[in-house]
Amino acid sequence: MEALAELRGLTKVFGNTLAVNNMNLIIPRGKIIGLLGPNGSGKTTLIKMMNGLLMPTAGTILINGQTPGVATKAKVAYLPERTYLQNGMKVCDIVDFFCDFYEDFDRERAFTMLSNLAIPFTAPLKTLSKGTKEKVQLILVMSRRADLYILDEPIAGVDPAARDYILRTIITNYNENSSILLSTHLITDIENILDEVILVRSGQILAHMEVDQIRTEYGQSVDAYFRRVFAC
Amino acid sequence: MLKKLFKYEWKFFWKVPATINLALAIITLLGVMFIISPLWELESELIGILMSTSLMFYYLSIFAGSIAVTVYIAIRFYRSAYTDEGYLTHTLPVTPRQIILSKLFVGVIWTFITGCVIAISVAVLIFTFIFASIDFNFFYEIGEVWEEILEAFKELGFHFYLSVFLFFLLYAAGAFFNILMLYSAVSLGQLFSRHKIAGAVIWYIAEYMIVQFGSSILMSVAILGLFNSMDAFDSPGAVTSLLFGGGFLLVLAGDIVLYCITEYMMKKKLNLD
Amino acid sequence: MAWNLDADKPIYAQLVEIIQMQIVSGQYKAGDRLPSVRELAAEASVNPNTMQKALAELERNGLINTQRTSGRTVTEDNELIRQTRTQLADEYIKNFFLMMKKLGYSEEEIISLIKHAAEEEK
Repeated sequence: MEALAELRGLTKVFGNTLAVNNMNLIIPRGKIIGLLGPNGSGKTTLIKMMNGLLMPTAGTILINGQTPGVATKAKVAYLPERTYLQNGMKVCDIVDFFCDFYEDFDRERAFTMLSNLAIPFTAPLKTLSKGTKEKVQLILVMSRRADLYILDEPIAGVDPAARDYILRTIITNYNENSSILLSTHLITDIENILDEVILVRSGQILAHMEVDQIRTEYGQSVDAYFRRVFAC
Repeated sequence: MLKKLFKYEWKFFWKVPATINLALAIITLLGVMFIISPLWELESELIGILMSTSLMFYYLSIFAGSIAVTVYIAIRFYRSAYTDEGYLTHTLPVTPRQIILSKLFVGVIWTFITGCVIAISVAVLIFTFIFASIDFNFFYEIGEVWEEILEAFKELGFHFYLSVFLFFLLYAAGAFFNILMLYSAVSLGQLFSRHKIAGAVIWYIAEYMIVQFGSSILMSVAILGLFNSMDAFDSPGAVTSLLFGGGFLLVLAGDIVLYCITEYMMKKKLNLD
Repeated sequence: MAWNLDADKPIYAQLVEIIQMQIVSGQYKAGDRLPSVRELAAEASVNPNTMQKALAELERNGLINTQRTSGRTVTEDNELIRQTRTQLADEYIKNFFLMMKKLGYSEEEIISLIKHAAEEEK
């Protein structure tokens, strides 16, 4: 089967800075992959290009064999590190909105998760805390039956209990044909759920390996390895 | 998808312009009450001042109302396409064309509604004034002279309904033009990594100047041309039709250019940060 | 509650150990059906592929059987479970002695310490 996503020579220049520098990457199906790197290493830039929110300076991105566009957007579930929900809406309105636009959206699943996290359906979004809004967004994203989930810092802002629930949701919700690419700098919390990690520094890929490979070869957790590699 | 986008755009959009139009309606109602009030019976100098200030106030509020709707159209476009909300807008499985058109139609519809409300408001006030002060038989007479007016137009070579139709076309293309000028300025302004709004304003001013300059040149050329070839036209009506029709085609061409700029920017130069 | 995993050892090896322990200690009895990979992964808060790998390893050892209809079950071979248990016990004792010797105790001292501790337990 073809790779889920493939990046070739991907480069993005902002003014004088090289944010992403000639990245080549293959994302297989059925994996949970961590995109790890210090702040400013190009993780978010890479993710935005994969979602068509930024245009690459050079190189190509193929998702299911297609460049980012209508067809890939229907198959990629993206959680940005921003809150994009409009304050005027209610929780159930935004569920309807997603249901209307994404064919792969599972409404039942969304409402189950909302009630498990005790988020009231009819609450206007402006009455919710920042953390709760982030949970709502994550629920919306994880309620799709997408091919590729791209989660930018999905656990940064939520409390530990919700974090556990979210991780369990991620584990149980994806199927063998879909993959999850998640960027984070909080490695310890999630390293057990990852298949592979991609280490990024200064816009380049330093390493792309399996978690257990790192543990076997270096006798270290990914977290410890990460700290060693990126030691200042 | 265009339908769905339109539906949600309408849902997000309607409250603000509806409130503005409601306010205009209330102001009109106040004006009507003012005109038919017995205040006029008083013979005082104050009435004159009151009259002119309220006229001024009315004029300003209509002006502010239509500006507010226009500004809101621009803000709404900027926010949903080029701020955090853009992260959702541009990851929906839709094309930039569908995004722009859905917003454009909603914007144009509200421009029409606001235009109609203002036209009706002015008409209501004028008729109330006529009713209250001049002659109750006015409307009868209007009915009687209507045919004569049409006849007079015809003699001048005006095709009344054609002129109205052409004027309407010109007005519609103009409404699209105004909104597309805002959209293209916002889309060009987002290229700036900081101060996107300032960038949009600068682009808007630049576009405005180009349009003013271009249209005044075209105007003078057209007037000169007409002046020199007056004999070629058999009536003032034909000249008007030609001006309206030609104007419409020009504005339509401008619409297309501005639309293409907007779509190109959104498709190829999207720069969300 | 996520399972307690060490940071420096491969995850799948630790999963194998933990499930072995669960079987030996009788948490899952001979012939019991195991939860699905996904459920186990969620319970342990680990990646389903890693859990899959651990279960495959246990299958190779014979502790777990895969039935086409009823998923995975614990082996009904009680002898094998006993053997595994002895094997685990041996390993722990070996490790224990290793650590104690590092602390500088002789074998006799270690045994007497164990006796002493066992007395206190009562």
